[in-house]
Amino acid sequence: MTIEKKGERLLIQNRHLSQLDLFVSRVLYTLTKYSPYVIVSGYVAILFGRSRSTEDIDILIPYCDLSLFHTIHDTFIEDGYEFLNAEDASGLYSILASGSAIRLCQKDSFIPNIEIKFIKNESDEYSFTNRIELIIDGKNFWISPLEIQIAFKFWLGSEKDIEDAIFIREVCRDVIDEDLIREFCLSFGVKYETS
Amino acid sequence: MKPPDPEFRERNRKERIWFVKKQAEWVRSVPNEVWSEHQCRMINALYAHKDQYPLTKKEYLDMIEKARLLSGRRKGSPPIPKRFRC
Repeated sequence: MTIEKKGERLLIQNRHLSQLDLFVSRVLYTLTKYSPYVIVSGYVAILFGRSRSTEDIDILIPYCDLSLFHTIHDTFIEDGYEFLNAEDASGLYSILASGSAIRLCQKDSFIPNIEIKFIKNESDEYSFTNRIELIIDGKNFWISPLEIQIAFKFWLGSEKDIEDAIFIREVCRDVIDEDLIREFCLSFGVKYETS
Repeated sequence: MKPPDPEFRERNRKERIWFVKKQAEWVRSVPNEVWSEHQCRMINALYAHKDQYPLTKKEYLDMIEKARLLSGRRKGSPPIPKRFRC
């Protein structure tokens, strides 16, 4: 794998894109017209080559008002998407505002789907404020900083999360700050060397 | 069904981590075209029949909720280092 670091950006060239990547890219293209975002959790590991799939891609967006959310909602519906939660735009907004997630998918095909949440705590805020632009053959993916991503996955603690954390740490070791991962692990109360 | 004993589970856990490291090593050692083609083939094959999912939306959401409860994952948010707090 070749990962180039250009300033704050990471570049992966000549990477084939799967149906999952193309779906995510299409959704993000529309979303970015209205709101910034950050990708967190398992899909980050997949972007860097983990050999697994996922049904849902976790995305955080900053809090927005109901009127902007209506616009986002209507645009996605017009573009052939639907929301899995059985609610209208106002109902979906209430779910977001209560701190829960809503799920967006292509109409009549709910796998894969995008799980969208509002930023609601300090670790979300850190991931968003310090997000990294990952460019894969001209397509942009704003992802959580890898150091907090790795520590957070260790903290979540399921087998899949720990394996994702180890994978990202190993594959990206030339572009990550190991001391920063240790600092996050210490603060989260998890062992850095979980393996 | 009898659940696997702790010794088996630990052996299994170590073996999975060994495999993840081995896979990471392989991904690092080959050009982007190579690892991503393998990954693409696997993911596209998994999605080949995605439109024939036998659950309704509600059943799917209920299933995810149950799976989350059983996953053993922590909930909430851990404290970030002081120097990054707002």
